[in-house]
Order: sequence, then structure tokens, then C-alpha cells
Amino acid sequence: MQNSKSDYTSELLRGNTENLLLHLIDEQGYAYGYQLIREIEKRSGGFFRFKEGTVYPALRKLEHEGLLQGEWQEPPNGLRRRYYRITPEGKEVLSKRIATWQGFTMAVNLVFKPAGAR
Amino acid sequence: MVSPEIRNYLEDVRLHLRLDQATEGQVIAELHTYFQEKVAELRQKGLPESAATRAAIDSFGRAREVARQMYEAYGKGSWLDAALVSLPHLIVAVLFASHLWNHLLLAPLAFIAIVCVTLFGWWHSTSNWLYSWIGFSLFPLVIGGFIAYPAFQSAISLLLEGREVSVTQLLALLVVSALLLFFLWVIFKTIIRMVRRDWILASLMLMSLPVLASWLVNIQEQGGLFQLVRNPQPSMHQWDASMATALAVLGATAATFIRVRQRVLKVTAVVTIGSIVATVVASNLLGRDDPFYPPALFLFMLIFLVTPALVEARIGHGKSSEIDVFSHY
Repeated sequence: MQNSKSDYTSELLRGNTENLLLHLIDEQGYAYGYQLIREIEKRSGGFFRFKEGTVYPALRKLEHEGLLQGEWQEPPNGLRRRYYRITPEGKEVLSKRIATWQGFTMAVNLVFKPAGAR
Repeated sequence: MVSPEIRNYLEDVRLHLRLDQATEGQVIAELHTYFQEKVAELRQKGLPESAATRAAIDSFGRAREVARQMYEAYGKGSWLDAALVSLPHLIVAVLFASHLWNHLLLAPLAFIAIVCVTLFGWWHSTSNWLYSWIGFSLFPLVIGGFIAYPAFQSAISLLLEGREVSVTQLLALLVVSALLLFFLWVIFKTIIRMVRRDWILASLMLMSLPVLASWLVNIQEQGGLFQLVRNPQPSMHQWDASMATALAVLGATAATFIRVRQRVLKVTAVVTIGSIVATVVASNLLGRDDPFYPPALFLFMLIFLVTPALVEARIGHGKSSEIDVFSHY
């Protein structure tokens, strides 16, 4: 039972990882992989538990599709990291996806409401 | 400083990435930064170095799974790439469809254009569309081999029979031998270079060669390419429609290869459709009545297109020393 719950969460997360990343990068201006992993964990209160290695292919895929732009930066006395920023095309795609997601969750919630409460 | 466990893990990822060298270097460098930060954070929480390293690797996931996802991230090419990869197939298909493959100017011009685009792409692009162009660029070398081989064979038999050979004949033998060796060397080196990146790209590159080679054998049996160019025969165009169709199908297969993201679909497209088309063309062109001939031919084509995978298993996917990401990024 526990397994099927975590499988379902993983599946939901897998389908939305790209959207979460696009949103966080859009909000923060620019961000790097590990920063995004920590941010997702922090904001979800630890609900989203996933293999951290899945974030990097998702970032690369978004970059390959032109939705993100990656750039190496080396802050003074810091690690050389690859920072990502959202492109105008990425912003456009993100707003469409958020609208679709909101419509979808609203419809699901309507269906989930008990029959008498509608 | 990278621990041996992390270095081995990253090397395992790299071995299964199958991307171009520059992208591989960038990807590994980014993952390397992740491990540096993760291990440092875990150490701050009080874990010893070895436990922190193990925990970081565990939280990242299996190396092959990360490599698979990374491959798929780059796996799908644009529609422009799909059009470009099928273009050499379509150029040669048009030569056949218009019965112009024996045109003294157009046919050589088409192949010169293909070679020029290949050379341009070789130096300026890392995209997968280039590989079908390389395959067609090798075709003039295959023609050269077909033409040089009978001369080579007759010169050798003259020598073996102990008959007197003139200096001119001897020089011709040396030149032809050198040319044959050069053709084989170029083809071999190109295949090895492709295989070092990804065997399926070598198969994509070779996909059209069995079709073109079958046609060439058929033409040689009808009197030879040069002979037919000088004295055209009506029968020499009887396979043109089949060749044009086969090349168009291979072009569509190459475009599918570019557009699908999953590796298993790419392999299926190239190996299965490539083998089927080559079998159908070779069965028709080299017409044998034996019912076992088509299945045997299919098996041969399948082995031909899978051979790069066997070569890759033998020579490996580059050497780790070729990409020392830890010192570059």
C-alpha cells in the first residue's frame, strides 16, 4: 500500500518536474541544479522525495528545447556552477502549462467533491 | 578533489551517455559540482567522508538511469534536423526517379555537393543529421572500389601466372592497390570514429550503403557503370523507381530516428527498417529463385547493421583520459 502511494507520487512528480523547475527558475531569475533540488524539497515540506539525478536531465531537456538558457559561472571563492535562466519562449510555455494545470486540478477537485456538496 | 567512488560513478554515467564529446564534458562537470556540494553538505551534518559519498551517490540514482534520461534529454532533434538527415537520401532518390543517375554532370555534382555539406558539417556541427550525409559521402569511395577491383584482380592474376608485366602495368597495379587500401582505410576510420560516440549513429550512416551496393553489383553485371554511362541501355533504368522508393523510405526512417526521443525506438527504426528495405531491394536486383535467399539476406543485413554495436563492445566508448572534465570545468 505504501509502495503504491509513493509510486503514484513519483508518477505525479515525474509529470511535473519540468513545470516546477521552470517556475522556480522564473521566480528566482536564475538558479543552479542543486539549489533547485533543495528548494523543491523545502517548499514541498519534504513531500516530494525523488532521485536527485532526475533534475539534471530535466534541466538539460528544457535547455535543449530552448525554454532555458544555461551558463557556467564561477563566483569568487565559490564552486563553478551551471546557472539556468528562463527564456521568453520558456515564460510563454510556463504560463500556458500553469493555466492548463489549474484547469485540470479544478476539474479533478470538482469530480472529487461528494455528490451532495456540488 | 574527487573521491574514487564518485569518479567511478561519473565515468559510468559518461560511458552510457553517447552524446558528443563537448556535451558529455559539460554534463559530467555539472554532475561533478552536484556531488561536491552534496558531500560537503552531508559532511557538515556530521557524516564521515565515505558515508557522505555513499549517501550522495544513493540519492542521485543509478548511473545508467541518469545517463538514459540525459540521452533522452538530447535525443529528439528539431524538424530542421529531420529534414536535413533525410535530404541526401532524397537527392539520390530524385537522381533515380528522374533517370539522371548516369548524367555526366548532374550525378557527380550531386555527390560533390553531398561531400561538401559533409565536410562543412564535420567541422561545424555536432548534430546527428550529419551521419546520413557521411554515409552517402562514402558511396563514391565504394564506386571507386568497385571500379578499381577488376583492374587490381587482372594485374594480380598476370603476376601469379608469371607473365611479363610492363612498368606501366606495374605502376597501375601499385596505384590501384594504394587507392583500394586508401578507400578501405577511410571507410574503416570513419566507422571507428562514429562507433566511439554511438554505434547506432554508425548504423544510421551505413544504412543506405547495402541498397546502393546491391544496385552497383546489378549495374556491374549489366556491363559496368562507365560502360552504361558511355552507351546507355534502356534496361539500365528498370530499377530506378524501386531505388527511388527505397531511398525515400530510408530517408523517412532517418527522419524518424531524429524525431523519436527513446533509444530503443531509434535502434528499432534503423536496424529493422534498414534491414527490410535492403533485403527487398537486394532480393529484387540480384534476383535469386532460392526461397531461403531473402531470409538469409535479411539476416546478413541485420548483422551488417548491428556490427557497429559489436565493434563498440570491443573498442569501448572513447577513453576517460580523452575527456578530463575534472581539470577543465
